[in-house]
Amino acid sequence: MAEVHVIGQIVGASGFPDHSLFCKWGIHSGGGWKILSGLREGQTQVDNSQSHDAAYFAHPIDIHFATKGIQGWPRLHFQVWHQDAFGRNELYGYGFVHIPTSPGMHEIDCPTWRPTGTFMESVTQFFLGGGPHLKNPDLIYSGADRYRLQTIAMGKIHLRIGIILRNFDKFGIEC
Amino acid sequence: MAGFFEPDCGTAYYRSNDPIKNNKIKVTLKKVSASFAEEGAKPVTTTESGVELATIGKQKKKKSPDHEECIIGWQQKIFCQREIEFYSNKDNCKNVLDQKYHQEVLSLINKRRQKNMIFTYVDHDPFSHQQEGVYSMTNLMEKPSPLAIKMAQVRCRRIGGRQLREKEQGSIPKTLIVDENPSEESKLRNHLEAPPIQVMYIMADLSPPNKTPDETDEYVLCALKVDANGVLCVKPDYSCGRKPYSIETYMTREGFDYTIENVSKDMSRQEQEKELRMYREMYSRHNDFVQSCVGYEFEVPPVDTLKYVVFGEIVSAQDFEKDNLYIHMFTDLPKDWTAERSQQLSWITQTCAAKTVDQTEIAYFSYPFHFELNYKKNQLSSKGEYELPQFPRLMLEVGAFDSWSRHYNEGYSYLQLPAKPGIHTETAHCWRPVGNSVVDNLRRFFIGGTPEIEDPTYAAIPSTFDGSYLSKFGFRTQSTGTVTVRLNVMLQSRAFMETKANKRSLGSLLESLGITAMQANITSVLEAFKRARMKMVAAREAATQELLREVRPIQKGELEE
Repeated sequence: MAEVHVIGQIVGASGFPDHSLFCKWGIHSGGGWKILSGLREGQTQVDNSQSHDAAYFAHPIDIHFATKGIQGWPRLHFQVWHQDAFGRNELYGYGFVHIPTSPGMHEIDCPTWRPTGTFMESVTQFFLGGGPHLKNPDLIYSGADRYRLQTIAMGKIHLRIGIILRNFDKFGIEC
Repeated sequence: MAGFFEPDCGTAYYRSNDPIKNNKIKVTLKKVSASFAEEGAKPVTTTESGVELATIGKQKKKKSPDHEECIIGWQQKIFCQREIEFYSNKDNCKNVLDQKYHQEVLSLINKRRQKNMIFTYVDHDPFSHQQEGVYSMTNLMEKPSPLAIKMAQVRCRRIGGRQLREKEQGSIPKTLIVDENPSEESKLRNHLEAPPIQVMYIMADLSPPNKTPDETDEYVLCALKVDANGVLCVKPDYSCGRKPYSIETYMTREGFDYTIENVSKDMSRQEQEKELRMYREMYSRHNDFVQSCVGYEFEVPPVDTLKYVVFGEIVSAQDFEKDNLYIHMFTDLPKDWTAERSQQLSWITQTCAAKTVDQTEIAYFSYPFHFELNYKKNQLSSKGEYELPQFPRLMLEVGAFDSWSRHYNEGYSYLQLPAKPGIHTETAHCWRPVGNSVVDNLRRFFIGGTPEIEDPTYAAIPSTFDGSYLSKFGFRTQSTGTVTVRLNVMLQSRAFMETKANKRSLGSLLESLGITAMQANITSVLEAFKRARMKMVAAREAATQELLREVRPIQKGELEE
């Protein structure tokens, strides 16, 4: 019977090797959570910044959850892609962050990583683009099989999220 | 004469949610000249005997009426004499609007109405466009700037309808979001922010009866403007009981007085109440619907336990010597803390190659983890005095595993889980054990492999430690990098529910303040009652004393008499 409002935006991304980025985002929550209103996933526009090092999306996130328990608190996951001059899309990173549990306004930096292949694959990646993707994108927000992955650090996604909680104190939850 | 003060000629703004077509205005126009003066009166003649008085005989039927009253609806077109003559001539009608007027005027001429003074200009008349003030702000021969000209062309005159709904909902077309070649009109319209407006002018044709009507004889009685937000501007304001406005004609110097009243039909009280009830019902239904979506249940922990929930992520690791780092993390639970069997309490991240940012090597993990622990104080084993609960710790071990399968141990550390709920970003600084001789370093450099600690909890307080004095002296280590972890901590317990129920919120505090006032009243009444009673008792005592004083004590012999 408790409700959570997530109101915020994906401000932008920075620290990536090239410009012309777009971001796919999604919110994944546990079984006891129901979305009362709002979109669960989306994709931003392609932002190509000339002067800054960062790409700015200003993409709104506005979701209203209802829940019966604390388990399965919603998580945000991201995929940052790069669109080059020929229109090809290349993966630049996977990122993950939990939705904050305490009410208020939060500025969050979500770091991203990209799977690396062998040396030959990284050479071809340098010249032609492309590169390995995750077969199962669920791996971004679960930690189960991650020990098998070999990755390299990429840039950061900046978020500004406001959280409003309702009725949590009635059930004895301090947050 | 209260209420009859000078009319305020400024614009008045009204707001209404009702559709504008229900608006009705009553205008009364009255000539304020001397009633006996007639036009065309015979000039005063002078004879030898003096001035001959003019006869105030029966007055001829006036060509122009003295007094006119009219109820005008919104955008109701009333023609003046000049317009009737203008539009009856078919050659003057150029566009569709003129044709329409032509038809109407012809039917009017057939009816042979009397010449009327009050007429209107509606939204699409040319007068409205010019008078707007869009062309010139001042009365001089001002040349309108290019900006003013462009803005004048763009004023869209549609209220409500499609445009308003578009603005509210923000229609997102499914295809063709980007317009490659916008037309001039859409370019101009997209630059505008003002909502569309509609205007109407109530005019008076104050030409003397013999003269052919001319544009200079037309005077604006009232200008009305409605915009898409339901704001109605009336200039001048309704003369609700105030003195009427006055106009003096330019040529003939005649005075006219006019009043403007709002006679739109009000919603009857019944209808208002019905509307109010309908809104309330709609909101409560929506409320119920949302409530039923949400449900009424919630999971609560068992009695007397504190549930400690953490949602966190291992964010990054930086400043380590080797590359291709991974982190192995597990929780260390002190006594009285339990977790469910299926709860995962140990995590291993992926191997991440670091990148250089600002002269530090940083590896990003973004590794999610979450767990739930229960704390229940075991009453039997307490030592009699109250002990603060010890919160669990997260032990970290950083390793490096490179492409030649060399494994390095890069450091150990621990994080104390915070007792306060909220968001915490913790950094743990790591150290690694160093062997005693040079051989260990050589081995680490060439083939990997470092001394590791046996007891994984050694980084914090070793689990085998039982005494009162912990000394790690003699253990040689080297500092390595830092690990950043972000934690979202929540606590849940039934005890919090009870304190919340007992705690007075501000609303109940105010109520209880009221109660104490009532209590104060009651006590004061009781006090007064007590005082009165005391007074009564004292009075009775006094009375009985009096009686007793008057009565002598009975003598021994008297009674027998």
